[in-house]
Parts: sequence; C-alpha cells; structure tokens
Amino acid sequence: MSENTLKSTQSLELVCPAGTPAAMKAAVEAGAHSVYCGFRNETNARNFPGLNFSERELNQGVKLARSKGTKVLVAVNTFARAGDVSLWTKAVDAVAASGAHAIIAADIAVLDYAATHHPDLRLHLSVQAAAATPEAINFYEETFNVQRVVLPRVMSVEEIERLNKEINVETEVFVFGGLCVMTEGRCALSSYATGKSPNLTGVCSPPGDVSYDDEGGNLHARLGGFTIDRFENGEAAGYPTLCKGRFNAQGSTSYLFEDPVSLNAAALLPRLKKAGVTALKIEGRQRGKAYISQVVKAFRAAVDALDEGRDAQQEVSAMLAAMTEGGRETTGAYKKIWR
Amino acid sequence: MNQQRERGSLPPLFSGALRLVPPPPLGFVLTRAVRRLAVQRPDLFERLDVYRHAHFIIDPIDIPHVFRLIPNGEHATVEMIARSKCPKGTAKISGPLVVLLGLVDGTYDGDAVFFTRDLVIEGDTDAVLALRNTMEEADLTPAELLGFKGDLRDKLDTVTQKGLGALRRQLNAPEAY
Repeated sequence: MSENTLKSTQSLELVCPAGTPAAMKAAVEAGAHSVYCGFRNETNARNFPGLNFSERELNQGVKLARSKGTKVLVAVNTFARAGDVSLWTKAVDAVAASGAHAIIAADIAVLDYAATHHPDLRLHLSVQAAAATPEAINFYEETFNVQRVVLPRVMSVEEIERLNKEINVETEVFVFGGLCVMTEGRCALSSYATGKSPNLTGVCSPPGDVSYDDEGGNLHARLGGFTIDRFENGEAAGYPTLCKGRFNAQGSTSYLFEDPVSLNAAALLPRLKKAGVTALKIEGRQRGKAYISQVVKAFRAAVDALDEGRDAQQEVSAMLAAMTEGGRETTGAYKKIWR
Repeated sequence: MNQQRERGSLPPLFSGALRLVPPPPLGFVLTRAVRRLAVQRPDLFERLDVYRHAHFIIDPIDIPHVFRLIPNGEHATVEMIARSKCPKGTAKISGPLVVLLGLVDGTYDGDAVFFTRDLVIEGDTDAVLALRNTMEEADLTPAELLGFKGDLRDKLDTVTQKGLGALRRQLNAPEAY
C-alpha cells in the first residue's frame, strides 16, 4: 500500500482555532482533535487586541486539552525582525516548555532555532511560509525535519493530490472561515493602506486602522481612511480586508479580487481525504466561543460521518449556514476553474 | 434605523413606557460587579491592555438609557446615562438589549451579529475588539457577573437563560448558535 493510499484511509484530523483559553475549552468540548493558538504578541499572525495566550494560559490550556485527548499546536508564525529575534526564540522555548504537541512556524530563523534547540518538538510549516511545491516542502523537511505543511488556500484538490504524491510530510488544508485569496506570507496588500505588514506585525487589515461609519443609512467600511466597501441599508456587512473591497474600475463597481465570502469546503471532505490530506483546518482565532463551538461540532459530525461512510452534507450545511462572512460561502480554489 | 437593526428590539410601546418610570440604580450595581470581577480575575483586565482606560458607550437601542463603561480594573465604573445626554466615547456598541446581553453570556458571536448588522460599532475598532475578546474570555453568566454564588447562581442562570431565550424568540431576535 502506497503512503498516499495509507493517508487516505486514515481519519481526518480536525484542527480548530482557539483565540482565548475560553475558546480553546469550547473547541475541545465540541470535539476538536487538535487546537491551534498563539501568544499575545507579534510572534503570531493573529495579533489582535484582547486575543491570544500568555505563557501561563498556554500551560493551563495544554494541560486541559491533553486531559481530553486533544493536541495543542502553537503558532509562532510571523517573520522575526532582523537583529531582534529574541521575542521569537523565547516564544519557541515557551512552546517547548508547555508540552504542546507542535509548533507552527514559517520563518527559517524560527524553524532553525526550534530544530536546533528543541529537536523533539514537532514542527509544522505555517501557511505563512507559502510552501506549495514539492521542492520547497522537501527542503523544509530535509533541513528542519518539518512533519506537516499547511497549504495555501490557492490550490485545487487535484493540485493537492499531485503534491501529496511527491512529498513525505503530512498536509493540512483550510476548510472553513475567512478566505485569504493571496499566497499567504507573500501578501503585503494591506500595508499599502495601513503602513503595517501582516507578515511582520501579525495582522492583515489591523482593526486599529478599521472604521465603520454610518452615512445616510449606508455603512462605510474603511481601512486606513480608504473606503473599502459600502453596504446599503440591510445588506450583510463584511470586514474591510483590502483584497475583498468593492472598487470603481474601468467604469464599473465590483469586487476586483474576491467577494467577501467565507470558505466552506465541507462538501469536499471525501475528495480531500482521497487526495491524501491529513488534517482539516478551521480558520477563526478571532471568532467567539459560540462560533467555534458550532463550526467545530459541524465539522466533527462531517468527519465522523465520513469515517462511517455516511453523507452528512445537508446536516452540516444547515449547521454552518449562519456562520459565514457576508452570509455567503465558496469552495474557493479547491474547485478552481480559472488558470 | 433599518429593518435588520430592529430584529430583537423591545416593542416601541414598552420602550416608551420605560421612559416614564424612574431608572433602577443599574450603574451602581454594575460598577460593583465589574470591580469585584477585577479582584477575582485580574487576568481579564491585563487582556484589555491600554483599553482599560477607554470609554465604551454601550447603547441598547430599545431602552431610554445608554451605559458608559470604563473597565479600569478595581477602579472601573459603569454609568447609566439618559440617551439624550449620551456622551462621546472611545467606541460605541449599539444593538437591541437582548443582542447585547447575548454577547455578554456568549449566546451570540460578535462577528456574526455584526456581519448581519444586528450590532453596530463606531469609533476605535481596536478598543471594541479588545473588549469583545475580553468578554469572551470572561465567560460570564449574568448571575456570576452580579456576584451570586453556588446553587443560587446556577438557579438564577437557568431562569435567566430560559427567560432570555423565550424573549429572543418573542422579539424575533437573531438565532442563537
């Protein structure tokens, strides 16, 4: 039996977001196989105010998760500043000390430090590393002993299947939540509006630069003072992420890059499993307990149904209907028809 | 005010009647509750970071008063202020009372009710997120916030939860998860 066939017979691992200890508890109780989280500083790519974990909270969280059989993966996945890497190396040390299952990193300096100083700590390559080719992934495996890669949300299922045949590491793919249409880790679009890099300071379209203004009944969503979208009375709103803005160009107004929709690949789980994917990632460390609980329950039901050979698509879709940005969803690049 | 924002609002007749009765001393009660919480859970206020000094205007759009919260740990204050004298704050969070209460007890996801426009935020979005994430972590029940303990807390929460659930259905509030 080839490794890829073996992968496709294993149960899919559900990797769920935890922005706070309360959200971690909610994810664990809802049936997450693994949870991912990060520290309350620039070392993780969800550096939002009020979010994330202190070292003490991480230690407690790991203890709680392990007692329920859930693994904790910790993201130290921004790029360290030249000449000032101590924040990142301290974060790696703290992850190792916490007993977490793995560290999720992108920067080769962080990966190297982890591989050298904590060789027993499992390494996952963050989506921020933008590794989507066998050459890149094999380099990370051979150099740092990376054991899993989180794939960018720009690949089709067919591309993932081909990739899996050419690499020896596990693959993890996003299946629900905010849809980043750029190759992550290489996108600096929001920095043109805010002056802050998502890859260094940890926030794309940082909330401190976001404003919502009601003007004549219409909601204007702005980033860094630039109007990114305008929602009419009663129209579902979205976060002003620059790549999901509605702009005037060549005489018409439209979403130039991507609509403000949420990724929902629940219907593609059988194909992703067959493609050799190991783990399914739910986006949303910035979302609340109610959201986490509902989405995790829905996907756990879908994964369990898949293991039992049942089709739970309708049931899962109903559970997820209210959770999407702008009230709309897409299968993103997984069913990509453009080239 | 649009159709969406009115989901979950108290009937206008009831809201109007509230203007005729003297307001309860909710500011005093809530100030004590937040200060008690600061003693029990100082970690929550660390999470707020610089925003513990922010002025949050909480505006239940279907009652005649707004609340000004300054979540400065053991020096926190909550004031109940007539809507006509609504002050400017660092940020303002508006929505029907049952939606705002649902955010406190975790019934609603803040992002989801914002996307559906049942919740409106104005001002410093960073401050709003810090408060929202802190409330999420607090994981408070209404009775817990008011300082009740043990069996009495559990009983009060059960009654409150059932009552609020029925009220949300009655008022056609957004669906809870």
